Amino acid sequence: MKSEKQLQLFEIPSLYDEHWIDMPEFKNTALAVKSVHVHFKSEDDFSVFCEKLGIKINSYSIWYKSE
Amino acid sequence: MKYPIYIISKGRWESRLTSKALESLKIPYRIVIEPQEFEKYASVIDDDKILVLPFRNLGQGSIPARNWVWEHSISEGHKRHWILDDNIRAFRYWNQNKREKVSDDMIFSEAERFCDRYLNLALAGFQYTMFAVTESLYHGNFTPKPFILNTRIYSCILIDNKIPFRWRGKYNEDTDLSLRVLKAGYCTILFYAFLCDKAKTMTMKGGNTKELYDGDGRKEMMESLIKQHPDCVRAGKKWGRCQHIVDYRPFKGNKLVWA
Repeated sequence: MKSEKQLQLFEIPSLYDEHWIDMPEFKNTALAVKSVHVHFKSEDDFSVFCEKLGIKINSYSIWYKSE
Repeated sequence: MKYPIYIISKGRWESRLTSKALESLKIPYRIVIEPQEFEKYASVIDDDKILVLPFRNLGQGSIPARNWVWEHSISEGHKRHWILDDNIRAFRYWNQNKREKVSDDMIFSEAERFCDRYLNLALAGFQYTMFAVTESLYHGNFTPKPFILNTRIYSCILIDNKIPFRWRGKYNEDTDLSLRVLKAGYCTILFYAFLCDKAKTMTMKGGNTKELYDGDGRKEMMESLIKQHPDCVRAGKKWGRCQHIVDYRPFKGNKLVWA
């Protein structure tokens, strides 16, 4: 059965709603929905992976379908 | 700003990162040094910003200087004081997914105003910028928060002068003080909205690097903290090195008390 958020009798403010009042704005969102680590046992495996995806990886992370 | 800022420094008159950062923001501060280094610091920093300690080379890391600062701020009648390490390059405000360098004392003033709302907020400080990235931005299941309650406070600390503790020991003094105040039921706040760029440990000359990290320093540091807090610290390894692992979960229940 699909879980649904239980209704609350009273709205309980979060710790942050309760305390971060009249303070500088803090609006930051997680930029990625999912992140995964991919491990390679050899340079060849890594090359094949990049080739199949048609990408070049020269840093610790990349964006899929990044602009 | 309401509260005084002290930078504790040793052997870093050339780099003096925190001093430079505060100068660029026109934020008043005083740098606390040992007497034998006065001329070197005075050659690059105004005399009136220098406080000379009444002791030298005690071999106890920064502890004596930290406690001297605490008493100094009390003697001047302050309710809290800032104590900053001397290897902070910049200060930032995190909002709209940008960690912008600040151009004035805003994050210090706002942090002070926030802390003064509570009766039992012992320590507060700014998260390191590098941790604000890895812990938040790329993890879809993590919603960034403006602060974290009841954890360790390092490097850039606003201390409530009235708490019945002082710095002690030789190693991991910031973790030790955080744990002692939390065990006593006080709260700590680690701001994520406000950040500081701290140079990585061991990447800079000076400070207490040589004194503490030489030889088996890291292992001794870890064992010392475990001895002080066996109930919530255990031995571990990080990046192939000895590293203490602290469990802050027992302090989740410490509640902020409004003034």
